[in-house]
Amino acid sequence: MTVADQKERLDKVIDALARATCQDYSHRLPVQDVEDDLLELEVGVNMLLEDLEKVSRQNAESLAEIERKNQEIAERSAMALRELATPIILVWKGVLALPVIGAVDTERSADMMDALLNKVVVEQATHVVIDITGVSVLDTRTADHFIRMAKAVRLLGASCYITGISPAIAQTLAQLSVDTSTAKTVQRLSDALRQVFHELAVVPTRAPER
Amino acid sequence: MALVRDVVAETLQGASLIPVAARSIVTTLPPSANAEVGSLDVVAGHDLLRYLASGLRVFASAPQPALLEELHRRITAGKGFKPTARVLTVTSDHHVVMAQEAAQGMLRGLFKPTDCIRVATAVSELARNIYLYAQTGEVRLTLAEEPDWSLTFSVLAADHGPGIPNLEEILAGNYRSRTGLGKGLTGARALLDGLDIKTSPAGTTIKGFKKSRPPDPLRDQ
Repeated sequence: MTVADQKERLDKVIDALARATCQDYSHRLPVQDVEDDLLELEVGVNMLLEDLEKVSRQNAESLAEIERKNQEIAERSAMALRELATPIILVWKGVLALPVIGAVDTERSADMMDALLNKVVVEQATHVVIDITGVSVLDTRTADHFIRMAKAVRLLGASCYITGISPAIAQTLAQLSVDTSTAKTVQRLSDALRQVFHELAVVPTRAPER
Repeated sequence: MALVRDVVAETLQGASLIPVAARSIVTTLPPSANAEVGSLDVVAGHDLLRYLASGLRVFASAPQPALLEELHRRITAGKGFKPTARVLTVTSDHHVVMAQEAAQGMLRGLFKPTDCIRVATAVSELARNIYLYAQTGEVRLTLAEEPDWSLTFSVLAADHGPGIPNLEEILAGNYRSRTGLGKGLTGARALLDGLDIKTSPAGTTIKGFKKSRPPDPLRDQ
């Protein structure tokens, strides 16, 4: 083998490695069946490229998989959030409960009002309990929204309780001098339900034991 | 420059702790301990202090206020923690909620829970005013440590909106807004320790602040 031959083979090795640095692992070196010092190098490089190709393919596949799953999760959580935004529970015949969780923005508050008022009409509700235990910050606009919601419920002929005001929120509301006298506020959801059941003359009992 | 981790190790070795306790606390320090001395901000710094306090409780059993004070002094190189700042652009309703949450996140564990809610509510009012009346603007939240180690939260709400033409009327409390209760500004003023309003037809800048003692890390948790 001439020096020129050797140089050519070495150039091919360098070329393959250069392609590999550009993440092209598809190239393979020609292998002759004459055993010499360069053969070992060529076979080694080929094996390395083989491995790299396999790993990069696996990487791409799992990346795509992760991407797909991410999108799926994002879609699912967005959907769950929309559903979660206004869960209105029929606690008893004619008694609705609306637990509010998280921040309330304009869009959500409009949705909430719509959904609640519709449900009041559909279920012919006589009592509505809005529970705001899950609302950490109540600014004037959000407070105003809940007060308006209570007013609208009353216009439909149902009585409305607001429950779950934490001591911190109560202090803040007092400092904001928001007039809450038009809304009936009760400490806990259970207290409101007790009052409602009392008014309805319903005695909730345990399910009979089997 | 020395690392926080090394200074903590040195301080604990100098204290009357059993060597195992000091070593255990140092080896379990959170990543923020890899910062340089004097480079931690208020939020990260107080997190670390709380961590050290609970470490001292677990590994050394006795509460050590003096030791914690020394640690505080040494990991800030005596200069106090750097201010934590967050800037939020307000262009939608959603940003109002984000500003509110940012304020709460910044103060959690550092201000009394009721004060956290007060501040978050005030920030929410200011951010909402930007969104309602100027459409776009900026809210800058800063938490800084004073030389006496008390904390001051400040909020700067700035916009280039039309300004507040009837400021006097609003602040006197006899204004009724068409879009809300008309109590946002007076409310924010009542909830904070101070509120400074500069308004002109070229825009509005509102600065507010609230002070608090840092909570004793030995007591909470």
